[in-house]
Amino acid sequence: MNFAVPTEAFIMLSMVLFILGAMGVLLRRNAILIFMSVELMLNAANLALVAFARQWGQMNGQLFVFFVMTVAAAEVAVGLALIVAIFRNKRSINIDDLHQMEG
Amino acid sequence: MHNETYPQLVPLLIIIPAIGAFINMFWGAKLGERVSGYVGIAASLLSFIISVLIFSYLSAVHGAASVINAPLGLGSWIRMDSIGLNIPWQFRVDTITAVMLLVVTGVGSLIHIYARGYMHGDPKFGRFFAFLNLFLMFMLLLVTANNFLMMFVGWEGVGLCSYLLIGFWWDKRGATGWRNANAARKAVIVNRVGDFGLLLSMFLIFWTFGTFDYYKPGEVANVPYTLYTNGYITAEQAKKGDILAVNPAAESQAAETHGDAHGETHGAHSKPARETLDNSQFAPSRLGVFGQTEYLMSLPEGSPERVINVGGLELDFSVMLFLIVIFMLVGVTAKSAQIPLFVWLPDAMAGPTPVSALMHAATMVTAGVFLLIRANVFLDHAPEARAIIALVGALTALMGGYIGMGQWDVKRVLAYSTVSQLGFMVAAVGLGAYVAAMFHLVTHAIFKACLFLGSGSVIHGVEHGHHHVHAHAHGHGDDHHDAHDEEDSFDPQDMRNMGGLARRMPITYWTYIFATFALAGLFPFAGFWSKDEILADAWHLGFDKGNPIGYIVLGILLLAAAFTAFYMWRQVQMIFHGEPRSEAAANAPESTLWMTVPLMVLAFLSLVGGFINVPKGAPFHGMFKDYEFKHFLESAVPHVTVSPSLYFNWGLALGATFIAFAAIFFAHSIYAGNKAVRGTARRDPLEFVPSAKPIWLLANARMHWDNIYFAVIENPFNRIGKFLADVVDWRFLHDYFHDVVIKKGYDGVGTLLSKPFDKGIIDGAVNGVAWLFKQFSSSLRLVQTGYVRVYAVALLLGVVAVVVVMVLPLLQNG
Amino acid sequence: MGFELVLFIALGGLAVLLAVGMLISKNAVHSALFLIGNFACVAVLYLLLDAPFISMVQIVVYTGAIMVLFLFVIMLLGAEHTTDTTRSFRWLTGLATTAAIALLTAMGAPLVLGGVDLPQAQGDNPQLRIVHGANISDNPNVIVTLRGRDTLTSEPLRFGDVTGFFSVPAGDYTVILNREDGSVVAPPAQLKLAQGDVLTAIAYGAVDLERGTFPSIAVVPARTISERNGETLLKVLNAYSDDTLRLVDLGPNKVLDTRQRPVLDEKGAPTGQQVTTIDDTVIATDLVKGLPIQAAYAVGTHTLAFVNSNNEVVFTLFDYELKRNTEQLVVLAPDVDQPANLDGSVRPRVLRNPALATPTMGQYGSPAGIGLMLFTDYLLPMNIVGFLLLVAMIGVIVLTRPDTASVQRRVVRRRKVSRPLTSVITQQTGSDVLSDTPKLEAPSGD
Repeated sequence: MNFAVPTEAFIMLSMVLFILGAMGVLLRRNAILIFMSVELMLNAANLALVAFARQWGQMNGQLFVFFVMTVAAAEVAVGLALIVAIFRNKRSINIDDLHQMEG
Repeated sequence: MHNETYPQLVPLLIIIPAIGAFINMFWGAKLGERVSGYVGIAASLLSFIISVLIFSYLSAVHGAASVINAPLGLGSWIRMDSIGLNIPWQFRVDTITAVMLLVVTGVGSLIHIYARGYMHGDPKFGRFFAFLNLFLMFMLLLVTANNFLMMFVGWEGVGLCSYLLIGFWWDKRGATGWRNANAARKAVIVNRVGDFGLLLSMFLIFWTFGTFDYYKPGEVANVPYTLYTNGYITAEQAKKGDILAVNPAAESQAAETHGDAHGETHGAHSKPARETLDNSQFAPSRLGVFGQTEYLMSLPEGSPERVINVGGLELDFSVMLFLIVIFMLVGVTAKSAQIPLFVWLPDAMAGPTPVSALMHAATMVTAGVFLLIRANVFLDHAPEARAIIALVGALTALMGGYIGMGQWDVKRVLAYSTVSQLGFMVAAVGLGAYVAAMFHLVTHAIFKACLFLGSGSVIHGVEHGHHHVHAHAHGHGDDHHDAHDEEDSFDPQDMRNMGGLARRMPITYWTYIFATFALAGLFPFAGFWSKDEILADAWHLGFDKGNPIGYIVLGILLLAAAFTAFYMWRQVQMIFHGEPRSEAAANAPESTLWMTVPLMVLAFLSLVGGFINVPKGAPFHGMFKDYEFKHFLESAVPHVTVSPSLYFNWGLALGATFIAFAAIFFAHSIYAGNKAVRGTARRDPLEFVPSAKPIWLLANARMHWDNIYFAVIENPFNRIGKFLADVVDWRFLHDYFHDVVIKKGYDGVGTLLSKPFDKGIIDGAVNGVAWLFKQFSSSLRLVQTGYVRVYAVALLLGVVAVVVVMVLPLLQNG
Repeated sequence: MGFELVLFIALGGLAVLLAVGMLISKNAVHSALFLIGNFACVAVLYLLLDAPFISMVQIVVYTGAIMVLFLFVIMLLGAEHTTDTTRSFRWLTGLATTAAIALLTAMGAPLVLGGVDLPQAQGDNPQLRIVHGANISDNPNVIVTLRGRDTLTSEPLRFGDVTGFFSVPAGDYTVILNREDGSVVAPPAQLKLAQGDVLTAIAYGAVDLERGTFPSIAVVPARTISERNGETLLKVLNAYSDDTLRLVDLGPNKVLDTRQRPVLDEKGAPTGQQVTTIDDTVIATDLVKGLPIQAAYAVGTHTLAFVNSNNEVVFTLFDYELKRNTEQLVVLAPDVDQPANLDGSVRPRVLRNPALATPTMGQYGSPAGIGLMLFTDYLLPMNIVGFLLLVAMIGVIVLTRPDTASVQRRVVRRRKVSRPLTSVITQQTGSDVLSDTPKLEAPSGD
């Protein structure tokens, strides 16, 4: 089956977005921004899933995306709550200020 | 009038005193003296009433025995169906039992009432009555049992109560307490020896017969075996009323012979038990031990059924019977204080006087005699053993009388008198005169109880007199019972401190005189009839049947009778006549009604008790039925006397009476007036007679029985015990084996294991591993920066590595 | 270059630019806005990917709810400008960039170089079942053979048997009916099976040499759902009569209710002629032999009748239950098991399929399709995710509670010595401890 836009193109776009998200996680120190980058990575993965679903002609991929979104919503809620809690203690959301786990 | 249900009341005889004992044991102290005493007396009196009911029933049915199963589902005690063993809780009510019941509960009730007064003020009053009721329970169990094992429970139970009551005042201060406790221990230890003999006898019984039951339920007692095999019972047997199998013809004949009224009575009672026992139903194993004995002895000697296999030995049944009876005799010598195991009984007088009267004179010590009478079937078929029994009894009678002659202690004299009289009974059993033995048992229980209670009254009086004097001297009016513990060594039981009490205690004096005459065998007191019957049976055995045992026993017993009269009059003289030899005696008061009423009752019975068994041709025999007692016992004792048609032996009676009077006269001449005690050392007058002095001193020293026991048994025993304790146990086991071998061995091995092995190797290995991990992890922990981004980069690098690995094959394919 | 490709390039480039903007923006609020734009672009891309429902969810949930939450938190904490001033881990930037480029290279290389063989979209293999309704003399068992990309042979089928569904690859097939001894019953029929087809093939007809007819195959789509509530789709095949039949619901009286009516001309005036009309509900008309008709009819138990053109009832079907979501297949076939009628004609019989519940399928990517899958195949994951959301909700509440969020050092209240012990101390030391001990009071307010 031929598509107007090949699946490979979507996969490439998804990869680029994913890498950008990963770099955001690695390079930014603002916890909220890191979190947003994580969301970007998740979105990239979703894009890949939907593209593959179209490629296979199976809706299961879309179902997975649906679940990923649901879990992401839960994750965002909990994560933001954590950030709020951390900010309340440390008066900062700089991720480098949090290194109590230092061995 | 009688009621068929009266025998069913037998279990109550056990239960009622048990309840009384239970109440007094747990709440005796709380209830107080009054309630506690009433509970005890009520239990005893109720038992007496039941005994009277049972007796009335038995006399109405002419002694028909019945077997009663225990109520409340207690039917079976020891039961093993696999080997056919079934020892039930079963009571046997027959005439022997009934007589014993009357004696135990009747005398027991009087003594309970007496003790209510005697023990007044004792701090352990409730406990005393608990023990008395407990004793009553066990004694009734002993006499009502239908098998040897139940009887043994009672036997051991009364032994226990004897121990508890002899040592009742173990807590008195000083040497008295020790003496009481030791007396109790002595009683227990000596009785253990006898019980061992009885146990052996029971083992042999079980081995031989396979059962302990006297008679199985429904079994015809004392019927010669030929009747069983014929399946019929003669009218003569049916007359006794104790029947299982009746030939209809014989029954009608019996009814005709004995008149309508008699036949009706008999027929009414025997209906439930009547069934025709034919030959096919008969099996020896369905019989109790006595029935089997009759059966086996009816077989010709050497028949295979008579051969008993005992541990490889093949013994004839008669030999087995001999062994059984001899071992039983060992038990009897302990319980009934015969040579050589009588030594505990005089010491047992350490207990309170009611105890001495009830247990160590009237009832418990007669258990042995009762056992022998109960086993009369055995004895009847073991004449050799019976001869031994007769000799033991006669010698004990003589020895007891002899030693009693030389004692100072009022209760000790009576104790040896009891030993002597028990010897009379055992001798009678040995002669085969079971009814005579039983008769003497009853009369002796009456007058000896009277004597003991009288002596208790005297002691009580002297004690109070002593306190009275003491209170006047020291100005305090303490009348308490145990107050004399703290006082001087005044002994209220020593006859040398008495004298002249007849004026101070007239009731006690007269009752005592009655009982003394009864014991001495003066006409017409109870002792005369019973003792005369024994002597007559011995006479009959010797002169009529030519049995040498009869001559020997008759001679010994006559001598013993002389001693009896002598020491009793000596005692009367020393206690009641002459002048008071102490302030206490001079001030002794008469006892309360609680104590004197039982004395009077017993004294009256001592006077008339003998008329229950008046021989033919004797004085008064017109007023009473001939041999009433004998006929009553006939159904339970098959061979009631040596000679069933024995007439009153005028010659023997007159001779014995003469001997008794002579002994009393002799004693009176020696001890009359103030001659009872001579000299400052207060010695016996006989000591001043050169020819009589060694004889008296030997009696005073109790023939050195205790010394012999000490030398022959106690001393070696102590030495062996000391050797075992000191050398074997302490030096070898503790010092050497435990300390050296075990402890040091363990120490050595432990040191070896702990120091080089545990600390060196095991700890080293563990610590070494820990050290290694510590070094490794302390270098590894530097990686843990705690910065999330560093971790994230590490993660990303890992992802890159994984992706590269996954993608490489694709690239290669492409 | 089609419109879609242009749209993809434009939106994809925009999405990347927006992501980079998010990455490098100093202001967190700007970052969030960039991300919103990015998400919106991706949502449009979903539309290109035939995922309209996911696209809407992306906009509503992600772009809407989640990003609003982000913005809210940023504003709440005042974290627009965070202090990225710490100079630690300068080396990390280089390393991370290198690793990212390496990853991009590693993942992109196979795609660019064409090393990845993406599978073609296939959909489900066609599914087929066969009904044996052919009237063959001496009524033998028939074996159906399917030849094409794959060859399948059925078990011997008796008249009226219905096979289960079997799956074959899509393509052109030849259907051959054999006796068990191998002799051919009917000329082969051609059958075209496409992806996703779910079909019922009905062998019908009789060998009639005079008229030159042979048994042939009628194909009916099986997996269809009725569009309206209270209705189900009924597939009717006339394999019996050469006449044109009608399927009628007889109604409760179970008798064909006919009436003579005047024939009207075009103007509505009576022409004087009378026709017989049926007053009962007609479910399907024009049932020509061999042509399956699909009709919607109310769910329930009905008494149906086949009526010929002379308004005569050919066959009555009593108490026929029409169920929703169940394939309803009614085949009127000559009954070879029964003896013939008096006039020599064969009696009819209705072949009823066992009521197979055939799950219907929504359109690809539609909310209906996703909903259907959620409530069938993915019911358990759906429940688990729902539970996870509940737990997350509770977790958020717990985390943001003031007293738990602030880790304060709790002051442990020291317990006072209890009374029995003091009495012992008093006894042993002689000093009155109790009077010196402050009285215990209930702790006031927490």
